[in-house]
Amino acid sequence: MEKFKFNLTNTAIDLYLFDGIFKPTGTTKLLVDSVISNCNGVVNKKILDLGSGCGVVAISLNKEGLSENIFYASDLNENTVECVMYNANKNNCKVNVKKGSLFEPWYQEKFDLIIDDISGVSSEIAEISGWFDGVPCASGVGGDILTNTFLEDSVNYLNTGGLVFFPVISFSNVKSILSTAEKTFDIVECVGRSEFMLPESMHSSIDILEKLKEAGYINFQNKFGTIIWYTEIYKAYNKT
Amino acid sequence: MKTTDEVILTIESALELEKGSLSMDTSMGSIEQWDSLGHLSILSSLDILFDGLIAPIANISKAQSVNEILDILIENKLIEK
Amino acid sequence: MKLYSIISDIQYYLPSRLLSNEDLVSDNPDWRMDDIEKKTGIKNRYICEDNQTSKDIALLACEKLFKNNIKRSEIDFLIVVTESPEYIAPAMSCDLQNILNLKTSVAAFDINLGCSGFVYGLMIADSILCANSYNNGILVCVDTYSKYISPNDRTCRPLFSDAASATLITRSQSKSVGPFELGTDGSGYQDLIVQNSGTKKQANIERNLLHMDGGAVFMFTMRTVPKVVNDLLKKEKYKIEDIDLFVFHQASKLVIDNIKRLLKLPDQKVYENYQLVGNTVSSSIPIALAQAKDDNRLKKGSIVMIVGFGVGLSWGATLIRYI
Repeated sequence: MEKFKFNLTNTAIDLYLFDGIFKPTGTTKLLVDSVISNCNGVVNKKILDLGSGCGVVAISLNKEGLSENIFYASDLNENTVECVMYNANKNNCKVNVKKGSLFEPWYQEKFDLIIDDISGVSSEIAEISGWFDGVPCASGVGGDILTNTFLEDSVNYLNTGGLVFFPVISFSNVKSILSTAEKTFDIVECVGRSEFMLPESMHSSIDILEKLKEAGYINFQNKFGTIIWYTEIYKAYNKT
Repeated sequence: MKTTDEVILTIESALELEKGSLSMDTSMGSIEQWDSLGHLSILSSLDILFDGLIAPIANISKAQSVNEILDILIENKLIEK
Repeated sequence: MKLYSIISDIQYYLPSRLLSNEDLVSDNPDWRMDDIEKKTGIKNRYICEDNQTSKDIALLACEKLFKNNIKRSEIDFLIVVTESPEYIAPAMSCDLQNILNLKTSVAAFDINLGCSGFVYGLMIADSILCANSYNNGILVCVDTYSKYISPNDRTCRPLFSDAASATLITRSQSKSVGPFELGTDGSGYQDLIVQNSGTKKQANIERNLLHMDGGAVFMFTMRTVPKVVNDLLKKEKYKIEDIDLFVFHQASKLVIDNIKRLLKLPDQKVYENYQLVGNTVSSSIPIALAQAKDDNRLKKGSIVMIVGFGVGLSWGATLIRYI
């Protein structure tokens, strides 16, 4: 079990990773920060963290006062339930955590805020990156399959006035994802962006990246003698 | 010529951060460790990395994000464009 | 007959109020004091009482000089280096002349410089003694930066201490002080500045507030100090090995460690006292010289290089031979 610290605005939370659980990245941090700064004073809301991993997003939002006493989380990974409950307990939060794919565990439930925390990079990149060590990534070569399904289904699980936050990573088919978002929601706006350098572990796979880029599945910039990719966080909702 | 990876590692080390924790837009004030003293640690560590070639660069202290630091290093032909 | 100057005595005064790292954390619980101490190297600062001014502590430093055999009537000039006078006018040296009961034929004037001020003051004192029939002068360096620093200024408050020093400089037939290397780069005047002070009014800025662009000042020291050291060595045809001790302005650990690195100076050749004294601005070098002597780091025949650098941006270096 690995312990790590996750920094919030005014504090930090201790989290524990069980085996096979996705380790939070810069995208996770950007997602949390973007949700917090774009919720317009939202408090005590019913929040669903979909693809929760160790529960970092849900627990962070709970600690920042956005969620009700209890938060909701689910993940395909079997170890998640135990891991999220462990972290929630360590951080004095209550959680309703379920195992399942996308919205499978939440039949007929509705939420105020749904956070897409599901893998959204090209499966070919997931394989070479080391980010998904032992964690499944069935997002397809364009990295858009799961995110597109999430977006299309999410409207059915939102309360009136509810918000959806989702990351779009340039190591995926950005055009396809944003097109789906715009067909599903009235308003889709970018609320956060960070650029990252290609990790050293992927330097030997640059030719794979170039081929994926050429085929239109991913995008990146060649700069500073390396590859720069980005994550953007989008907020989507329907007009009431 | 040093690589961008070496620069990033140097900044991470100066700020006592875990490897891989910086993004291109991480900047002074955006994380706890990159305060005014953290900024001096970065400048000092970069000068050590580049064997004293950082000190003469007049505007390097104004570079307050990873992106800005890399831009100035490119401008001064210290890393690849 | 050629005339020279010699430093006969250095006395200093540190206020009794101590500001420790624990005190700083108590005022600012969000400060990561371990990290601040690790990088600045400073554990303590000396701070004047609220009603204590630069004149008060300068007086105390000067009186210590008069306990050691020099008579007030023997003083021919008084130079005060300060950036925190009691008043903009008149010069604090005039006020001190009166309070110290020095003769009215004393030449008294202020110099508005900070961390390079002792070297500039020494150069002027040396010039006066070499050119005139004067015999003795006092060079006072005094700053109370604490009165300009905001209590939650994490850049400045951990660094600066208040202090005063009084150096007796006497005419001599043997060369002890010099040559001098001085310099100025006014393009950096805003990098270390007491804002909204003097006649320049700045709307929306608190009156008399110290602002320091730490990065800019740090890079200035890295660019300038090694060069001025090498220029001075070259001027006197010395090498680093010929210098027994380097006494730099005690800016902070980070600054001095980098200077040592750039000049490849072994630790034993560099005197440091910032840990327990802090950055006392213009008094930094004279206090370090006095403490180095007390610590037996200076002996007869020692060659010391002193280098001051900072606000202005200004710098100065000179050699002192202990004879």
